[in-house]
Amino acid sequence: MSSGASFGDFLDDARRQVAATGRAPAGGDDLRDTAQSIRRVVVVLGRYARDIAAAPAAGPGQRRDPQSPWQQAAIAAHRELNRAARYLTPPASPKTNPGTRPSAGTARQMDGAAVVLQAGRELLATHVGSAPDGTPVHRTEWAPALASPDVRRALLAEVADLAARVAATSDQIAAAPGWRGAPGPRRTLREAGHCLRTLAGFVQAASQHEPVPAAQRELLRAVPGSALPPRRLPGPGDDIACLREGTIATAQRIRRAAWHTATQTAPVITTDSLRHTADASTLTSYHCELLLRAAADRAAAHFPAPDASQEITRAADAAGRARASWLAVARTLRRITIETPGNAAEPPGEASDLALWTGRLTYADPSWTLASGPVHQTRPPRALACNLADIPLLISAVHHALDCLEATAATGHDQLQAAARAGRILVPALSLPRAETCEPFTAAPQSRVEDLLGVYRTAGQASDHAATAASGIAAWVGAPSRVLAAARAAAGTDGRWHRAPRTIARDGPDWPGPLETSMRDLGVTSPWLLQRAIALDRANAQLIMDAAAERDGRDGSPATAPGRTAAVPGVRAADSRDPAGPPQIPNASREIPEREP
Amino acid sequence: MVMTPVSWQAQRVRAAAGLAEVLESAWRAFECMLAEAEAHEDPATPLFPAFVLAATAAASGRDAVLLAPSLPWPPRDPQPGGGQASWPGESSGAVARALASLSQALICRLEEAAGSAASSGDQDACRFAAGRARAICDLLAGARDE
Repeated sequence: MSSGASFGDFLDDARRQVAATGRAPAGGDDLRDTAQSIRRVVVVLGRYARDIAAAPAAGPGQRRDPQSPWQQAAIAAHRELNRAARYLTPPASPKTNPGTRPSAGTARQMDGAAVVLQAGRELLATHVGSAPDGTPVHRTEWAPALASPDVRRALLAEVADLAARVAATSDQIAAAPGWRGAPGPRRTLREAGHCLRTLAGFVQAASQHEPVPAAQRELLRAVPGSALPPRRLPGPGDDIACLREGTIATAQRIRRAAWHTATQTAPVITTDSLRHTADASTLTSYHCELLLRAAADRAAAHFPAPDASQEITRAADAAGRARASWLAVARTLRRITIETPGNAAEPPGEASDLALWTGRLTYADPSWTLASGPVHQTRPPRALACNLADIPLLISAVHHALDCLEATAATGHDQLQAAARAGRILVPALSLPRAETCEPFTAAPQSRVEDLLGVYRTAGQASDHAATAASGIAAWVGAPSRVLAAARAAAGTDGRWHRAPRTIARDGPDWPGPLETSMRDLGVTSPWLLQRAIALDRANAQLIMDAAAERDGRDGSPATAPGRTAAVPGVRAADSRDPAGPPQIPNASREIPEREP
Repeated sequence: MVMTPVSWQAQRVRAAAGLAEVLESAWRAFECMLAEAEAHEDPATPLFPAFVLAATAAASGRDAVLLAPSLPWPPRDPQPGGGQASWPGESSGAVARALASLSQALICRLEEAAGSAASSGDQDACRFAAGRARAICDLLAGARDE
């Protein structure tokens, strides 16, 4: 997933140390030290088991089933690890405190395993905080995945596996010949080993009843620490590997920002920020399409069967559809403006960074930027993927970029929905066919708001499809990004566009309207003719809205007060009847938009 | 020489007299640039990224001009493009060069207007719009026919 350490690294290290056969204890203090080192591992494993057993249900309104084999296994694991730790606890006596003596052999390996397991637990804990009342609070986009039942089960399975390995070592030491006068330590090691095998048996039974999907085990191993790589822009000397890493790091940062926006109070959006993001997402998906076609070209050269190349081409087509849908967002945003309180300057968003990183991968010019001139040569496919091993890495970078576009669409959609509820969406008055033109901007009619939210939904769905297509290829070619799909499934963010309530949109036309679509299908490119078609589509939608409002009025439904207009300079209602307009136009002034960076 | 919508707008921008006329011609010019750039947002051509970014810059420039206090409103002719038909035979490269030329005219007139406008609202609007015109010029100048 990223160049930083992941939880799997800690697991691997702990497993290696637990399984290593070091020098057997020579009895006496050495034996007691080894038993204490084993106890340290058992205590840390017990903390994992406590976390799993005490974790709340995955979602609101869900309850844990105490009778489920996995829940019983979690409780049993916690209990058996506690018992094992008690067996291994030496009796209180001044003589049994050996002080700080360097451990050796098996004891040293067990101490090392305890340290890395504790570090791994702390890594997982960075994603979850706690509220003042003690309830867990998700700090990152990984937290919902970590709280999901499948990932908790995967973690318990790892705990059981490690416990079984510790039990084997414990039994081996207990059965070692040559000690005299050590019945106590032998017995405690055997008892502890028995507890550890018991817990492993519970988990094995639960696994047989309901196996942990391999993807969830892989996802658990891929969990990184919560710290993100710092924001960085590409340099002219960055090679392909560096550009791939930069693309992935930027996508991770965007995903985190989207998660924060979705879970916390959304920051104030501006017209410029939305437009920049839509343009950047259009270009990112465009670059991804070009990069996937290059990858397909290389796959055709490296793989004897044509399937891989064809699949990658299909993913490129999906990226092309995402590009088209983001372009529709960009075009719609050029026809609205957001009334923004204050005049805060806004730094360029990280969506632009992603377009820059993917652009540097796509184009041969090492100094390419979004503001560069009109035409640039793309890199030849061979330069992007010299050999077979480079193809999965390229797919991984593209997959990350496409995956975060879906989150970007969700953020924009939610922010605009909030802006629409607050009546902050305005349109140029002349863009409305029946508007009075006393002021240049007017409140957006409902149909335009619906159009806007509709294009965002379409972009979210198209980005989702493109990410899914890339995910399939990532799984096929073994790209590191293949866990992204499992992460989304575990966090419950997959398929959100199918579940998203359309609270504002009702039956508004999707973009473009039927007349404009027909014109474009006929090959008409005249901007003037297309503008007329757009205006007629909107007039059509407005007519339907007006007719529906009049019918509702006859039915006795509450109607908007007639003649409601904005009472501020620069803004007035689009239509004095305006049946579906926002309820209130907040203060608006003829302020200059923020200067672009 | 055939008069295209873009060259027609460039002529109007150059001929505008006084702040109000400059602002109105700039509004129409940005609307024209937006429509032309969008009509050429074709991903099959390498000019696609430049046209996408230029179209958004034109929309931002238009919005800035619309917020200028001295912009006469409502306009005499409510059609931003003045009813001009596009020239369908133009290549993307030619359109890009024409838009760059129009944006150069806009930069010149809007910077002049910013320097002479009395109100800070007009000054800010003209400066911001000139900046957007400069961005369009940087994006599209030097485009070649593929």
